[in-house]
Amino acid sequence: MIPVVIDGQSTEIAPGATILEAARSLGIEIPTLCHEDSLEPAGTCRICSVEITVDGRSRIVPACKYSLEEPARISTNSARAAHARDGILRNMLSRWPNVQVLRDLASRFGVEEPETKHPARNHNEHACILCGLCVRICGEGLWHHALAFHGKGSDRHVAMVTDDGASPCVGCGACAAVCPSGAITMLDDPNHPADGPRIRRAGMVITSEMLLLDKLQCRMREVGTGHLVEIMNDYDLLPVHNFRFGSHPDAEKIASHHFKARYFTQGVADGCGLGCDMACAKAVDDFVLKTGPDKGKSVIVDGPEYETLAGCGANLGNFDPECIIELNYYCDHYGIDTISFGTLTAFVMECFANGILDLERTGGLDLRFGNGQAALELLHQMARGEGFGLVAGQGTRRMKAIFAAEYGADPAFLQDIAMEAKGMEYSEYVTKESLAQQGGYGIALKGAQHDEAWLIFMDMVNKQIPTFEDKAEALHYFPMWRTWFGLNGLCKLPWNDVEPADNAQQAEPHKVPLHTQGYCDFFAGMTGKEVTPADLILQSERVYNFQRIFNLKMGFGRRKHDSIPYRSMGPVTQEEYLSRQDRYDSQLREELGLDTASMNLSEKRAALRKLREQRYESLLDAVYKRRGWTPDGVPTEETCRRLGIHKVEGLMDLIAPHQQK
Amino acid sequence: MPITVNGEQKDWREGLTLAELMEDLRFTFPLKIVAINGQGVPRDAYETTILRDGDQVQVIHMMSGG
Ligand code: SF4
Ligand code: SF4
Ligand code: FES
Repeated sequence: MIPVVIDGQSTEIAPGATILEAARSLGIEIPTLCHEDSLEPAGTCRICSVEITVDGRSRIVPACKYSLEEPARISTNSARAAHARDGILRNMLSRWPNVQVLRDLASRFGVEEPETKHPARNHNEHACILCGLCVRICGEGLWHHALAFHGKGSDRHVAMVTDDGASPCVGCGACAAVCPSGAITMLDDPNHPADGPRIRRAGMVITSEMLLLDKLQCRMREVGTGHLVEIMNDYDLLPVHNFRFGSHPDAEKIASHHFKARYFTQGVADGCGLGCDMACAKAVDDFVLKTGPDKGKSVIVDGPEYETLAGCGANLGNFDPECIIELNYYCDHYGIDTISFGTLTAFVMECFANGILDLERTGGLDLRFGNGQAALELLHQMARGEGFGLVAGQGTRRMKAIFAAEYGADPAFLQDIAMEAKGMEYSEYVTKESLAQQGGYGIALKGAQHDEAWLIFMDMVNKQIPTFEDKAEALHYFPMWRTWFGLNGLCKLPWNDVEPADNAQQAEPHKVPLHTQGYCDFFAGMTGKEVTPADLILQSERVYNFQRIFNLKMGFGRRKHDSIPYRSMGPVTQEEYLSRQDRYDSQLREELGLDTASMNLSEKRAALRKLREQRYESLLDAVYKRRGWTPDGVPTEETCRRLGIHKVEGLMDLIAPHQQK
Repeated sequence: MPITVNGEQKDWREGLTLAELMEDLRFTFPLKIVAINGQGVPRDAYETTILRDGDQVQVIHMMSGG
């Protein structure tokens, strides 16, 4: 730490901190015009000039840019400092006499507008004061590069960059939000929000967190969701070999730093959501394909993201980055989702390993775990509707029936290892040790997706939700909250893949309350209707319950449809049990008081299975109760009335036979 | 007496730092909050924080994910 004295007050700061940061820590306010915390300091305007004395030598430096490396004495108001600052201010006033920020500074420092008038005098109260913030936030900050300085001398001005008549501007409004003079206003808000600036203010919170904090948090702007590969591997949550295991020694080969160093193009906005500063959709440019109809072509591949790395990678035992990129490309090209492809292929590979499938049945495809090239060929066959691709392309649920009927496989075993629920393949997280997440997958309306609730850390690692009721509360709040993003056409990631610096100090940090408030501002700014966080949950609850009843109408939507394969609850095979034997044995001892030393492996497996299946049923009971549903998982009449959806024609008739009398 | 982490007992050794404990447990996720006996520990103090026998450590991983 370095001792510094500012205006007579002493403090200690970390080496490299700027004078501006040191002054703020003492509550001393230094004026700025061209400074934004989220951008590298440029030192353009010099309004922040202060006098610094190091080793007895004094000079004037810009506080926003000067980093302190040795003990120093600083004065923000010495005669020399004030002279420098006031001179700059006077100069600006002579040119832009009516700009409010300048007038406020003039009255704060008692500076008068000078007699001499600047030759390029501009009386506009929203004149551009050439601070350059807009150019910097748009370019170096957000990678859009839509603004630049043009002209020289008194003709210097900011204008849009156009390329062949087209502007790279995405209309994000960040430039308008940072402009100190109000020179930039958004003219065209195509959605006609009730209060555009309120929405932009809420958006700027995320923008500055992305610029300031993302590099310390999830690195979404560098590697996107790919950073989760190494994290999930460390926490035993990365699906390996059809969800049998949660980590693999080779996972390092597909860790995000390799993709950053070798594949992902850096420093460009992604165009995923126009103006989204998270820019997490990474792409591989100039990738030369080795197989398939586009073989030899150089293409852009959109991804791979975490789910693709885990699904088409680890879950298949495929740790070859280029094979995963190629699978990613062809899934997109053929219109096949990489999660469904990854999970169904992992199932096929386990069947191959168990002799349910063989080379004859797969038409010569050697679908061993680890054979990414065979997976690629299977993908091409699926797209062409040929060979074994015709079977696999029907999805996991149908494959179960086919393998039992035609190859004599044991239907119970297939049911245990086929990772699908409601006919949809599981996304890529191992849920065995998190009961709440088992519910997150099983109860989700659309099928086995984690996008309603991702509770593994809260449940399995943090132990924040130990009781069934705690888990049920989380399985009420989070699915409703996440449904709200869908209702409003928003992406969930900016909610909690970057967090405010002081999120930890909030009452319920896992809800990211400051961001939740931002979404309330967004909603009110858009519609003109004030809302609280509880109102947002209520909006979702109406739709969510309606959807559940819609499922009922379509022949789903009951308890039996929320069942999940045992692979997602616990170890199906001996090998799986043995791989985490200590964990399972200790659960049997602690929760059932069993003497595991005197039990054989099949007794232990059976006891564990019984326990885990019972716990899943108890979880369903608790969640249905919390949501106001019957024990069969149907919303009660009372719930429908509370939510106002009872007025929908035919709805009450539909649920009537399912009510408990 | 061993230390507890999120209510579960974990091995302790003399001089064990918080940073080492995080590494032993492979708690590598960046969005987390750590408290020792109810007292929050800032991120830049993990290396210099030495755990004492019997300490109760709470490590709250924020959600992120999907
Ligand atoms: S609206 Fe966004 S993209 Fe357009 S010029 Fe301003 S900062 Fe750049
Ligand atoms: S338009 Fe605003 S932000 Fe851009 S240089 Fe001018 S005053 Fe600064
Ligand atoms: S605020 Fe420091 S130079 Fe502009």
